Amino acid sequence: MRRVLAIAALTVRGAVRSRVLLILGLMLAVAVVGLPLTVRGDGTIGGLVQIMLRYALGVAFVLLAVAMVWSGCAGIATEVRDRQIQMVTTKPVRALEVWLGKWIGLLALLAVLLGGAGFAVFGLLHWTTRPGAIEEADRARLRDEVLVARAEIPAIAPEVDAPARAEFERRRSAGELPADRPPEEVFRMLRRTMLAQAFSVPAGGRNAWLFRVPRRPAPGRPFLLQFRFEKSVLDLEPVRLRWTFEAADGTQRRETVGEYRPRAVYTIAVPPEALGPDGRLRIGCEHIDPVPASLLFEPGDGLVLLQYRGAFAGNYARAIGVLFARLAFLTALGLAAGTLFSLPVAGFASVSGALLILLGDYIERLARAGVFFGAGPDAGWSAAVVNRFLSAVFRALSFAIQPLRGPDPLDLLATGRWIAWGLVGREMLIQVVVYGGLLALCSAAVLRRRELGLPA
Amino acid sequence: MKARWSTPLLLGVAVAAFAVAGRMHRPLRSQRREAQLDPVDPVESMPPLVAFTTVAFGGFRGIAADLLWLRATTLQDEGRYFELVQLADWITKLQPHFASVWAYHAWNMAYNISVLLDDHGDRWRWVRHGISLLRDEGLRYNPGSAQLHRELAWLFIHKVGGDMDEAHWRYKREWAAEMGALFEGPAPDFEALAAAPRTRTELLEEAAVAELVRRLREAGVDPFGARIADPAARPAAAAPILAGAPEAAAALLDFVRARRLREEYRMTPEAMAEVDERYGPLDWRLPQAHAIFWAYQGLRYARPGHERLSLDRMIFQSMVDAFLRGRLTADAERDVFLLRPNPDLLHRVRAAYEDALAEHPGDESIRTAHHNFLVDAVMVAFSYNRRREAQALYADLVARYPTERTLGGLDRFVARTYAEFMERFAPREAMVVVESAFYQSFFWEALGEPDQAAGYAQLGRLMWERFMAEREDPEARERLGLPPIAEIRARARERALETVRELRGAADAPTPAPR
Repeated sequence: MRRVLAIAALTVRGAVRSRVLLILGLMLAVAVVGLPLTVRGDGTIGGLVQIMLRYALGVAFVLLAVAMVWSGCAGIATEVRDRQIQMVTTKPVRALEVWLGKWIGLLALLAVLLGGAGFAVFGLLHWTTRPGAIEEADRARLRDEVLVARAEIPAIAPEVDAPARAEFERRRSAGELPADRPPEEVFRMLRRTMLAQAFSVPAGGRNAWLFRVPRRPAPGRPFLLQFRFEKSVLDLEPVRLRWTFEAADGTQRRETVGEYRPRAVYTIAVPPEALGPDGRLRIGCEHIDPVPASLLFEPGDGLVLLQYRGAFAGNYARAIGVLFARLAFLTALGLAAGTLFSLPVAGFASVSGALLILLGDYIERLARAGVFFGAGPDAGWSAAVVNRFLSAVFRALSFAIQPLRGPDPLDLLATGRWIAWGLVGREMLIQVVVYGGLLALCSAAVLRRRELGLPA
Repeated sequence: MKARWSTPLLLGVAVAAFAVAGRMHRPLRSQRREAQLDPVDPVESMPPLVAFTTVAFGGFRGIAADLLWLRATTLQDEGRYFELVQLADWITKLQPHFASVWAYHAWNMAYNISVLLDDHGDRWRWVRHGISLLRDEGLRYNPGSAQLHRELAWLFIHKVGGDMDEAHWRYKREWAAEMGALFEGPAPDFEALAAAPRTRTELLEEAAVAELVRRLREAGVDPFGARIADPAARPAAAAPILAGAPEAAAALLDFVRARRLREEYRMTPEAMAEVDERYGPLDWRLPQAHAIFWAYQGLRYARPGHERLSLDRMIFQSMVDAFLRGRLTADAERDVFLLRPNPDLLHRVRAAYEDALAEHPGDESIRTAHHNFLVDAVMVAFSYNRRREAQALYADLVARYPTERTLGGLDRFVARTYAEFMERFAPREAMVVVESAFYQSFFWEALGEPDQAAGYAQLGRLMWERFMAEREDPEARERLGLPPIAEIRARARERALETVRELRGAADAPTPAPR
């Protein structure tokens, strides 16, 4: 460990001496302080704070990501190019220790820079929203809507797999499946339709959803129901709805009636006393508008319960923790690429890797679709082979990338959503320990075998 | 030898080519303008940051714009609007000369996003964002775009001036309040504002003004801030200082107002005066005046055909609107905000239509609009006891658009039209008819014709009740209803009295009691 720390110290010293730290610090300061002055919000103080959080930290993340990937690439590649690496490798240190030392040194720099940027944004936020700078009503609204950490509790998903499978089998035996679509796609469509039905409210009808609340509400902090729906009639006229809140056993019923516009996002307070002793809450929606239009709540995020979980400062610190984990991985990626290739090639390779992670959603969709060229009986065997091959490639890519993807902590922070310790732990485990560790092992293996003393 | 001469020679050729290119720049630009490819040179209007961005991104500009556009769409779908102003700003700056992009984002903010919000103040903010994007940014980078002028005029006449949005009264009030902070009364003093100095240095050359500015500063008042020109928000410490030097105060206020008009509202007093002279007198607190202003500004860049027609149409539609409800009675303390007809604009609207008909002789939509206007105009003139004008308009209507309804003379035509109108009134038309019925009532009563007066009063009340009976729902009343009947009667009485005084002389005019 002492050898690792010594190399880490050398890395930090080299960065300080080369003024990388100073330049990066200056760039971060300009971005963090200057950006909120130039970015335009929606004219509300809430919008301004959200913009400040999203953009100031976002820019800090991008700057640090570029800097860390580049420093990682340069960390080993330039030492190999300049024949400096021999000074270390000829000493009794293992390749893994060299690599880890470099990584830890860069992570120490990252911690200082990210921590500094985090403190600066937090200070700026406090300065902007200090008493006297904005009205007390705005401050209260800000504390309640943005500078808060609320957990999202989705409705318990209804069981649709079995009914969808049954319907699929019935259609297959009746010969009703479309010939030009793969059977699995038909099943997915059936499943999706049933799920949509479970989250819709017909004209004049009602529907209800069950929520499992993990903990009792904090005093003075009611649950909020956040919802948004689409209307089958394409206008934006409001719809009159009656919302009912009751324990799962039908007791403690409360209700509220209001008019709500399609596509707009609403939050309404849920009486905490409606929560049953078993921690379950049934929320019903009754369509009492004379307009004959069905309503559809997007399954997933169209109807969520928000529960207060903590103050903003803790959430902010956890967001910084998640950012740190992701930047640590990018640093490892750069360092690994620098171990394998020369500096320019390593730069391109690591940027390509980062782009692949950014395109994770798209890759996952391609892997799920499984059809790239033609479909059905007329497509021919060649299309089937290509489809199988590409499908396998994208599935493998998706398998490798998906663990690295997760919710955007800055979006969560800017919208007052709770960033769980679990998320921070998961990110640290996956990005730093697992993927960082894998890259370290692979890089060490390469570094050990690589001929470093080749003539120019 | 060759190497020694070739470098200076090539350098000389380069310099010569550079000079020739520089000399050719101006004529080429003129030719582009003549061909109406680019009425105003775009580079002249671009600030360095945007000029740099558009060049530095190179081919990646489109990709960056696409990514921003995708993010904007996703955020809007998710109901998260806080970033959208900034994203719209960036997207438009990446394609600053693509007028449709500006038009789309302004329209998206003013129409799509605003209506998703329940609070009328929030809605107005988004409508205002749309107006600002077009006026302050879009037209800055595309000063020669007739399309953007039309879109801006449309936002004023339709979104702010129309009544499709349930928050339209809020929009009108907010706009009137903004204009009220710029000038007192229905219009600024164009001449004084045009004559105001352009720079502070020029202003402060006047010793009295410099002294006034010094005293205001000593009192802790910003002499060049927006609040000094706003009678409703003027700091208390400023009032006695301004009153102490009335001439210098007038010069200072004119300077501040003219500067705000130019810099914040992108309107010059000279251009406003020209529009007012041609189409007015307009009430500049109302959106119609601004719609006419921006459409008129766009005319000089419009290509013949669709562009020209759409701007002409915008002008005469706004003129009709100003004629039907282009006079504002506002009293913030009593919460009165009344829009009334402006019959003085009648000959201007007629002239605007005549111009448009002459410009687009074969266009059926203009003829239809003109026909509808003549019907409205006959009714308004008749109701306002401008019988001679009503007769002239009726004669024009019969000559140009004879139908069965126009047979039988002016009185029969008016009686038939009143009955038909009630079935399809919009609030602005209903307001005209109801108020003018009461006007007639007070007018004839003052002239000693009680029967006629009672008949008109009865007609006015009946029409108000019938119109409001169709709008029992409180929200519909708020959005599409008429002001309280007592309010309308009081206004009509004031106007009738004015007319009678003019007719008889102020001294002996009888004063009818309010009904």
